[in-house]
Amino acid sequence: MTDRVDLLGGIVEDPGVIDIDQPGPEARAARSVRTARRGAAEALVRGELREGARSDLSEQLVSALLGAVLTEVDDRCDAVLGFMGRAQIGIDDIVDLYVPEVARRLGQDWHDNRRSFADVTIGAARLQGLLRELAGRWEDGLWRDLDCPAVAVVVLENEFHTLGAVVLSQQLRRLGVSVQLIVGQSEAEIIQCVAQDRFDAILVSVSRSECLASLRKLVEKLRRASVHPTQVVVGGAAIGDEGEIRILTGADHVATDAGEALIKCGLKSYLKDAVLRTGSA
Amino acid sequence: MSSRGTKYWSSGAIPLIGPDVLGEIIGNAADVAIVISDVGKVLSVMVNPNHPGSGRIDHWEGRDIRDFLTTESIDKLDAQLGRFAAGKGSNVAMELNHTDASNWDYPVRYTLHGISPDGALLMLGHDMRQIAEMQQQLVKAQMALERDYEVQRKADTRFRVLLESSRDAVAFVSIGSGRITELNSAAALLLGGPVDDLQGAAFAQEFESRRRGEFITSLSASAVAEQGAPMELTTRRSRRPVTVTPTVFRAAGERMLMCRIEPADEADQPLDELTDNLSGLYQDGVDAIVFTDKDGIIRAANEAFLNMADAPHLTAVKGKSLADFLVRGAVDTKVLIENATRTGKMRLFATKLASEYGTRTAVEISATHLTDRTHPVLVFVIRDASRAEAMRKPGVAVNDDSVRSVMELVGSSTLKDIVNETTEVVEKMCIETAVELTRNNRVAAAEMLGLSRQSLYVKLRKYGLLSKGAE
Repeated sequence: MTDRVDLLGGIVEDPGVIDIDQPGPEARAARSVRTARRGAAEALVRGELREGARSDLSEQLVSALLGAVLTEVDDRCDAVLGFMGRAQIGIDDIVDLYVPEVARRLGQDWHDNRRSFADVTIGAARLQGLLRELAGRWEDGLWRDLDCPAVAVVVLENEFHTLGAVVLSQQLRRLGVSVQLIVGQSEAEIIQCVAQDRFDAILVSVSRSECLASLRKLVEKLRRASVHPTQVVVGGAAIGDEGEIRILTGADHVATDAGEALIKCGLKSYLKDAVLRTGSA
Repeated sequence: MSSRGTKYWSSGAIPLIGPDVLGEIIGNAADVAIVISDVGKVLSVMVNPNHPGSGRIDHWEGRDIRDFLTTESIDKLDAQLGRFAAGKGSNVAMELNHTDASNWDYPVRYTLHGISPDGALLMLGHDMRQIAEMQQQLVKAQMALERDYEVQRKADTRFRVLLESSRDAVAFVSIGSGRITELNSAAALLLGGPVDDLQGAAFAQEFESRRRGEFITSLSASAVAEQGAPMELTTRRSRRPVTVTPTVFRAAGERMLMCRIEPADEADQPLDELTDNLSGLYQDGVDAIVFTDKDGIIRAANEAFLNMADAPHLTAVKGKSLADFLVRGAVDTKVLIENATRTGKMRLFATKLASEYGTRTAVEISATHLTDRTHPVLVFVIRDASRAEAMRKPGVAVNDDSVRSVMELVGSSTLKDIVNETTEVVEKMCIETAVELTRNNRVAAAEMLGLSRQSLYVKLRKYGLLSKGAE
């Protein structure tokens, strides 16, 4: 039992609570996604939960997850996820709140000279692996829905921050959007992808403000390559003043989260009823 | 010896060092050493000459160091300078990313040291490019993984669509664990449970009186030995007799079984739409449909045929020859079968059907020869033509055989001869028909044909019809 307590970095007082023999995160993910999808989708678009919830995050769990992604002990992450599951924290909350918060703290720690960028990189890589595990194997039934919006989420080739784009893709998929995630591909490959399929919107994630200016040409090319009229949305860590960025990049919209991007592109009418009740947005 | 927790050299071990030697020591100890003013102006730079890959940064001197830092690094430097200005400076290492428009973009790990009362600071830097290189490799690997995952997602979707749209009930079973790894809804329907419940369930337990180990062993043995011979089983949940046809394969080292599950009783087999419709047409259609073997022996006939033939039940006609139900019997059947077997089909053959009780119905028969099977079958569709027959004007019927015999003459005779011969054939047929229609009343026949009685006699003689007519 003692080693199990240690796996969680001592955050659990009652060692009996932990049972790492429970079914893995995938099974839990499947269950939770099914039940929570509707409510979470609604909240995600309203932006309510996301804004209000940061204060509701359990500090203990955030630190535990942060510790887990930085340690070299392999199954520490699984143990923390298992514990979160038993604490009734849904997969969606882990994806939407906990993972971004841990990523934010990693960045802050680097900024405050508490952690080297090597640690931050490894931590971010582990978080991304975690997301993949939480996503489950496929989106139930999404392939049957031919009318659902299709979007491409693009991370530029020399952009090394992919975590945000992966989170965004998962959120969009949960909202019933068919997503193609394009990462680590050259500009030519990105344009080829866009030319091949019909996308209602192309979401470009940018984390370095230095890249914004060079984006203009790509945005133009993307628009020209797309056979059907499409909208280009820029988002990510580098985002500041919307008007300025639109002028700088030539994008149609600037958005900070999945719901905002869909609403600005006028795609919300495609979404499930729950989302449509959000009113004026 | 230490002060404020920091260890220093033992007193006297290091003598006071001259500025020239100190500069050399600093230059060699760090990869890059920079002296900046309290506001960040670069006063002097020194690059370790022994450090591989060191570039020239002399042009930094006199400029603001912030010009050579990325945005987020400027914030970090400012924070640290602020701490020094407030007298709270520490030499905690700080990673800054340099950028120089021309060629570089690299991280350096600096420690800051206050070296003079006017606030000038010494930045001792360690080049982190090697680690940055590793970091980039890691990120690239991560991206490759993400790309592969997208490819897998597409392949997964295709697999899923294929599985779900297949009418065959299919389940994948791991030989190692004996559990169902994937199954489609057709399989779930046969097994009698929801897909979610069955996924991951022990395959053996879905069948009655089967023990897991032995069951999987015999399934895989049967797959290997008899190239997928079906096993007869009864499902546990729905208690249905089914056959399971296993195919064994290896996926990434794991031995797997793909099991096709089919209902054991044929009648229960889900029919596809066409089969369903055809069977409906056969059962309820207005035209009689008869299947015979190559000799015209009836193998199956539908209700419409039984009605036409006044037969009480299929058993009354099955095994009999179709000829028994046609007025001209063997002659009709022979013509139909010969033509159908030669060309595959024969259309609109007019004759009469004779029922058990002697009633005669004018019919048109089409015959089709189905050869693409082990036991070739002839299909006759028989349509009641009694109404059409009554309305039909007597006309010249040129049957296929005579046309064909005419065509055979091309090449062996001149056109003139062919036309003459054809005319004679047509003439003979018309006269025969007229005689038949008038019940051998020659006056009426001559009138019908627009001939004088004498001319009719001449032609009857010419074609050897006189004796027949006299009968």
